[in-house]
Amino acid sequence: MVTNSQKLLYKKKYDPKEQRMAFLFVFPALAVYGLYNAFCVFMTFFYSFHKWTGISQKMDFIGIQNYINAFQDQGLMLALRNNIILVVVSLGVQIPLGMVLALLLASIGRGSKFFRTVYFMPMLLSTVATGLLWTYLYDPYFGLINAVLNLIGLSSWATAWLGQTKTALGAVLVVICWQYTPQYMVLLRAGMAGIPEDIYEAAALDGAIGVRRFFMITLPLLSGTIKTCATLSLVGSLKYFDLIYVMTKGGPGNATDVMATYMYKRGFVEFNMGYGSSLAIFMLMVSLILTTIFRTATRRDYSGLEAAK
Amino acid sequence: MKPILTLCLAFILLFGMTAVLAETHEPVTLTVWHTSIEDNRKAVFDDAIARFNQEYPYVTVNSIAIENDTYKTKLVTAMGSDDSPDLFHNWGGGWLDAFIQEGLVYNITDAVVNGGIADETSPSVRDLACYNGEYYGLPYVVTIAPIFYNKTIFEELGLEFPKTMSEMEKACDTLVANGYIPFALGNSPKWPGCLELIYRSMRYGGTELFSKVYNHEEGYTFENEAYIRAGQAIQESVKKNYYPVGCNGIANDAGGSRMLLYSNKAAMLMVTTSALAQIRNENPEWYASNLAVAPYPALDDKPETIHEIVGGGYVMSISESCKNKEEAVALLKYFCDAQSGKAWMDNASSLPPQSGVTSEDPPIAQTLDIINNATFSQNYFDQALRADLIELHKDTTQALFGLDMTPEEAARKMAERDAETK
Repeated sequence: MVTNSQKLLYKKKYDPKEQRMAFLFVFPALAVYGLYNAFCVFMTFFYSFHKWTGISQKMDFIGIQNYINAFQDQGLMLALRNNIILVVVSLGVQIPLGMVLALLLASIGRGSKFFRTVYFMPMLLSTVATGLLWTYLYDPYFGLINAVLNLIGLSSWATAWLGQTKTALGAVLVVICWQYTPQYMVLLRAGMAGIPEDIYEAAALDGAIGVRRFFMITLPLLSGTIKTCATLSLVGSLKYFDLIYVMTKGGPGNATDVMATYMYKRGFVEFNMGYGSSLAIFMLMVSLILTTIFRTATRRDYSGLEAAK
Repeated sequence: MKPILTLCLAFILLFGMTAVLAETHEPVTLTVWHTSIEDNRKAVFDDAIARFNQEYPYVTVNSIAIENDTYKTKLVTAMGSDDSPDLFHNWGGGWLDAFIQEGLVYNITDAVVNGGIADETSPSVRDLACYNGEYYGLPYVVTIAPIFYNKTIFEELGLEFPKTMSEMEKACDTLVANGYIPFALGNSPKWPGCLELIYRSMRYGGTELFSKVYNHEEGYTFENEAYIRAGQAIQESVKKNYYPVGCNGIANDAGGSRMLLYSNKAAMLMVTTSALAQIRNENPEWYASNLAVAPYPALDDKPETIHEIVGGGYVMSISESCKNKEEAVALLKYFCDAQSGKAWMDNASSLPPQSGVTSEDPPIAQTLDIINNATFSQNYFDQALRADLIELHKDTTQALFGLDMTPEEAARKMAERDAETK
């Protein structure tokens, strides 16, 4: 049975006047988004069915040939593999590490502002500066990393970090984690601040303290934030470009190429915009599929926890 | 008396006005895109524009400097749209050719042949942007790839700078035996290592080889024996420690390779002449007391090949969509004339495209000497190659230095892509 107040609420919710008003407010953003995002994605999709240099008036429709080539492209598959490694490392390192830092910040109390600022700094540096800084740190002859290794008697570990196929990807991954962990630290710290103190108090009465408190209260109540972080990290890792471009340009050989750097090379540098567009659509599809899988897989857990809340 | 004076005045005024009217042009704007973001290099453009404006006061020139890394991307996007610049910097070669193929570059052959705009340009570099006898741009700076070396180290070890390739090998062995890295190679940006491949393949396969392969002449591909031999020689050099360990991870622009020179760890460096300005800015004392410049050694049995060099340059071209071509050609002349050339050399340690230039500065004088004696100049492959082969060439060559790919495999990959897309 529908009560009057519910009716009123119902009616109010769909008031056409207000809806029009709402649309008016949303419209500018929607127009910008539509023109610069949605339309461009559509155009990329359109280009991906053509053989087109990017500077030419001439555009030949070639159907799905670009996509057939893409699936047979070893370079792309290598880039995809690197992207997946990047995803795994980002999810497995950045978020847990962000969590540890956030917990440390929460437990410090006084002076936590200072540490928060310090830990957040990598995020504030421009990517080019970060890339150059780490290129110097990794330098086989003058770099700080090898110098420290030599100093502590681990000279045999000292190597050309960015110069070898074996170590280059790992070396770049460390820098990416260094740069992005603070972002998750801040997000998780904010999420922790949102957990009401009385829950902790009640839990304490029931004997949940220390590690137990973290696993029984903090972690479940943070699951929404964690999920947001994970989605951000997943999508961010799949479209990653800048640090790799600055530090290795995808090298040595193709060892550190990811899909975005590979697309850039094939599309812009080689005047092959049609193929580049098909690679961009491929990236979009991979991101969509993985994000959907991820969201579906985590949905049940999440709703259960919501109910618990 | 008075009316006559008035009349005279009126006459003069009227005459003057018509004269002014005859001189008046519609205001014109020309946009120039280049990569000279540093003040000393940008000033060379500003100076040429100021001189141009004395002759063409009605033209406003917008000189826009764009950072080198993003320049190519921006230009590709702009040339594909209606916002293309009137004049644009490029490097000639296959990259410019891609634009020419699409009819986006103005043919200046008439101005070069009959208009005399290239009269001050040295004939050996004039053809940097010449395709089948047609001109699509003029060089305003020349760059070559000589060997920069620390003469003090060579003197200490009692070594003459090698003139042939086997002498070079001996010199490298001596350097290694004395604890030096022979070549300070910062191969992270990939192109520095390519220079070695270009020189060796040119020495082994002759100066005609590249253009034959480029033009797909019968029996000439990137699997030519000369490329494979060059790759093998590179890998032998890597194994004999002629290059720093992990050279593929060492930066060049950011200074990693030059720091090896400054710190006396390495003896030689082969990069383009842009290093002259970099070294002079970074370490003027080292520049003055240690730096010397020499050409890449010759084949043992053909000493004359020492004059066959690898080099390219900065080219200025006019886009086909430019609405004021007459003024654009006039401006191009100012950019490429001897006065601009001298400014490039004096202010930016860059080498001018004019012949017979001299310098008091020893490293620059040695470099000019190499240019003036050159009998052949091969453009860098990453400029000369067709655009779709450039990245592959850089990636495979870098893999050679990392011993991640055999010379045969690298050559095969190049040949395959070339056949696929020609």
